[in-house]
Amino acid sequence: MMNSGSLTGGRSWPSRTSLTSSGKRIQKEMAELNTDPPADCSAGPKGDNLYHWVATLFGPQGTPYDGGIYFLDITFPANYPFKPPKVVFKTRIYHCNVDSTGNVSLDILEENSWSPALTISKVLLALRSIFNNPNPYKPQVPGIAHLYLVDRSKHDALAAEWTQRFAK
Amino acid sequence: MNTPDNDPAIGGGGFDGEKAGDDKLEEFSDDFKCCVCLDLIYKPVVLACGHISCFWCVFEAMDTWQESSCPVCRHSYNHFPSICWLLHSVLLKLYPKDYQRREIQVKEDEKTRGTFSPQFENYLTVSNNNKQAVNDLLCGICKELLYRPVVLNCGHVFCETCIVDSSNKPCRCPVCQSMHPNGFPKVCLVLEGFLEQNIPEEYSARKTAINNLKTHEQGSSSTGSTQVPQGGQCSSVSMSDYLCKPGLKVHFLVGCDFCGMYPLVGDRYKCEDCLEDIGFDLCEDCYKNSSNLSGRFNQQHKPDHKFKVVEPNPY
Repeated sequence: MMNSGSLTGGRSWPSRTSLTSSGKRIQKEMAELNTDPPADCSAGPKGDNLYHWVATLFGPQGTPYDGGIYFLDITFPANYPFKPPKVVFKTRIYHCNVDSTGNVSLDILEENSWSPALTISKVLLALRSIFNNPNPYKPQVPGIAHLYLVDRSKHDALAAEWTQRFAK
Repeated sequence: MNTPDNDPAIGGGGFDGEKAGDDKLEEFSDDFKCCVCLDLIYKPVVLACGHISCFWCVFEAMDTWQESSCPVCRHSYNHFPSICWLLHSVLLKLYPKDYQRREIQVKEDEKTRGTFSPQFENYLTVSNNNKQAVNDLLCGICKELLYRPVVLNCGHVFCETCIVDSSNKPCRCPVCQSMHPNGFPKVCLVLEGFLEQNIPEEYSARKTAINNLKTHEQGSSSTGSTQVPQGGQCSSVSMSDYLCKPGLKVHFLVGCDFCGMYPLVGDRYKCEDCLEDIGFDLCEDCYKNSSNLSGRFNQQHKPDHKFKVVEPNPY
């Protein structure tokens, strides 16, 4: 029994994951998002390309992100769901887990922590939870994480200001 | 990231096609929805933690370079289990239409891959009768209705108590004699739930019978749960130990066709006569211990085929 991973040498058959299987899986997720959409967010293909999605998150009440509308780009790899989707914030946000180019540090989106049983709906749920609970111990922007830990009220004021400025 | 941006086959609004017509999601229970493809499980494979996925989904989800982990609970494993034919028949009977749809779909995929999953050896035993018969759900040891079913790496199903009682080494299958690696398997809860729901009277009768037997044997201390040996002692060496050992041969991208060890560690015996692209390989243990082995990708391997020892590919 021989397998072929996503590498160039030594493969015995051309492609591990056929595009049809990743496409089918993404279609299923799309159908499930339509019938059972998660609270306060939405997601779907950007244009006619199934592998490029756009998602919207609403900043939750009780956080400095309240009232903000955040757009995200989601890109599925060809071997989805065996590799994680790539998620990028398109709306600026003052958050220790999101840098200025929109890259997010979220453990389940890392290759080693990703599981094919996770879905976009679960990813959105996880993203929503970092609005409420930033993780300053695994920051994307150490400066913001530091401020979050030492002066929470100043951090929250800045975050609210950014919400007003960029996310409304 | 490798995104098929410009592929006309998937762009161009093609995804609208299936939305209305083909979706029969509501027909089958969520218990039998594969967590990887989100469709009805086809050719079910049960991992040691008791979670079920499709044959191909498990295969695809396995890690090429290290131990794999269950998509649901992240329980680690390094052997690709064989298809559980008992569950296969259950699904075939439960959802004949949908299961057939899946069969056609998977066959199509397999044709494009050029690699095939094992075929059910014994289709005749599945009667056309839709009703689940107790006769199809028997333990391989006690020949009674399965109680707290566990599925071994070889795909055979037993009552948890039967496997524990059968010998001091619970990790060898009493039916096919193949090893069950890495400790004692957990009860397959989906199958148990199915039994409880579909044949409740017979199942609770079995429960009472087994609990009575146990309290009779052990006095009143037992509350009904089985004392399960903790894994480890009967396992071969764990994969992480293997991978750390200097000088040990690890054949990345290659798996043993009998026990399913992947990546294959130790001496690799490669069949020189099998013509299939996927090849036919055995680990040292399986090569030495078994005579009549079939491949897990429907290879036409014959007992008189010759093997040669192959060194790992350098990566």
